[in-house]
Amino acid sequence: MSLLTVSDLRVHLFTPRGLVRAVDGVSFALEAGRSLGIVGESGCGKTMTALAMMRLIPTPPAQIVGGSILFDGQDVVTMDAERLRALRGGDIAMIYQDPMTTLNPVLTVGEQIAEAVRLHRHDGRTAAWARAVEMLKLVGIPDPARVASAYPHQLSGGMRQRAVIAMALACDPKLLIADEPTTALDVTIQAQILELLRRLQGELGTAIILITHDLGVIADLVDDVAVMYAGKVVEHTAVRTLFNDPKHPYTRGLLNSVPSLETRERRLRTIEGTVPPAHAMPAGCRFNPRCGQVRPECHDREPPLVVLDNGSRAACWALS
Amino acid sequence: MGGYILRRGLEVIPTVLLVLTLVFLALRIMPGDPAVAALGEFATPDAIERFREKLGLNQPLWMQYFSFIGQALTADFGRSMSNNTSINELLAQALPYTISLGIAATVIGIVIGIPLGAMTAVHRNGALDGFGRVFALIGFSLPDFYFGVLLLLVFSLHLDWFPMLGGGKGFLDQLHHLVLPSITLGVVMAAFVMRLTRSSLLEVLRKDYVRTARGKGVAEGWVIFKHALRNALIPVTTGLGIYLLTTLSGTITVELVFSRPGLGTLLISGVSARDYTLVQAGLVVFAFFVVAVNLATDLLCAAIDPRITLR
Repeated sequence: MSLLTVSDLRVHLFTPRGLVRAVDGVSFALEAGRSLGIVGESGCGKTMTALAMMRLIPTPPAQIVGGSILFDGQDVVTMDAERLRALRGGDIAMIYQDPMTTLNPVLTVGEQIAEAVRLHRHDGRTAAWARAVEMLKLVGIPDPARVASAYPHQLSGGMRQRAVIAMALACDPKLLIADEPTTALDVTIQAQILELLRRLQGELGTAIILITHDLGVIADLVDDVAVMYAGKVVEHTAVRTLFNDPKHPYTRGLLNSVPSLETRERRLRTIEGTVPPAHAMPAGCRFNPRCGQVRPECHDREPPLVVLDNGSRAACWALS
Repeated sequence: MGGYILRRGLEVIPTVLLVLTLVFLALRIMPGDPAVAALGEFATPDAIERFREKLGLNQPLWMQYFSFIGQALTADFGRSMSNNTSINELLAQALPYTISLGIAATVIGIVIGIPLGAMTAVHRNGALDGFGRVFALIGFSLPDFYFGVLLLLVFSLHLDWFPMLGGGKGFLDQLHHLVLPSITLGVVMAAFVMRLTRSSLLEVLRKDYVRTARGKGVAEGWVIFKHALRNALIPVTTGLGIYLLTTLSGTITVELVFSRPGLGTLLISGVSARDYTLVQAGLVVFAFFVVAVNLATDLLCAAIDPRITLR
């Protein structure tokens, strides 16, 4: 049995402008200790998918309207509040996008880490604090005892993100969800944080879901990749296959728009058009207005995710 | 933190000097001669001259200014012009009534306002929130003198639960006398604190770090109490400080309504008796209150929010 099995997950946003199907029938599975990247443009539903794993989506306006999220055989969607609390921060932990706003400004970094330890490992205050200092050391913070007593505003962005990672890993989660963990950081700090995640994954063997819009980030950090477009998974494959043999027109477009150092092109290639507004999706395949291989059936019916001969799964009428 | 307290404490000095200067100037700018006002229009020029000499009014303005500053800083306000009793003695009698009223009203305001504000924010648009809205509307729109009279009518005149007038003698009696006046001021303050807490908490509940707390598995009650409310109280503290300053003038009306022998009553009697020295002393005390409340607010904010000491 997989550690995590998401089936037909649907998250809708009930906005004044109308219903937005932010996540529309997403399915994937993740084995213990493996890693999955979820890639897509802003607004494709990847963060909503991540937040749904812990039922942290902002309600209202968002709501899980269908599907199931089986974690260790238990459905997160229907779980009662007590079980959900034990899960959050215990078995599943999350690293958030913006370290500047993720930490509570009036509590010390150590207290924020130790709180999770007390809740899930039922340690006493002293033991929990010691664990917090140990975790800060593990994520490469110099002088961890001093940093534990510091407030978030006294730390740099990179340090704060390390502290957030320490907080997430403090209770030995089985699954770590990292939602764009490097987007808000400087490029040099990004590399450090990614290196840290890679090292920790090797040391701790935690399963990871890495959400990002940056294909460069996933290339050497995950085993599998799910590409999302407009609330749907359009291609799901091993990371090597994704780069060597991308199938879905959207995935190919994404890879083409990564600037290459080998071929000297004057202009960066882009995918034509823009993502349609969330409340006015086209009928049929949602990518059809931007697709170069559009067929008549693309306007009528949504393509299902099918297994292709290279082992990938993709949702495209041109491929099936 | 220690450095901040020291720095903020030192900042009080220029504020106090400025306030004292303003009080001094305001009283000098007032039309009419205080000696004439005190002795009446038919006093002999000789008597007026002696009176001016006694008060030091014949000295040049700068000398009067420095002796006034000296008096204020050493808390020696001399004697009342109208009945020749020591002003310090008058203040010592009046201050406990005003301070106890202020503290009791603030306690009522906080004890009702903050929990009610937090609950209305958490159960937004629920029945309690509706009640809170009505409560705030009543609190804001009832003038305190009118609310005080209403309380007097119902609880003193008809029900006879509380004494009508005065400050009371002995601790228990004074406490008994304190109830209605402090409710008058406290309920209005509670309405203010409640609305402030509600809006502040609603904003904080949308913050990322609240999601982080939930994502750690913190129980919802603790999320509100430990992670959200403390952040929400920072603007509430500042707002409460400002509100307390406006309530200082509220104590004057409430003391009048309930005939409490407090600072407000003393000041009013000084004004109507044209007791120049008394009014001057009363204003100085009020000004000190303002400075003290401001200082306390700032220190309290710094205690809640670790970021403040850095600014």
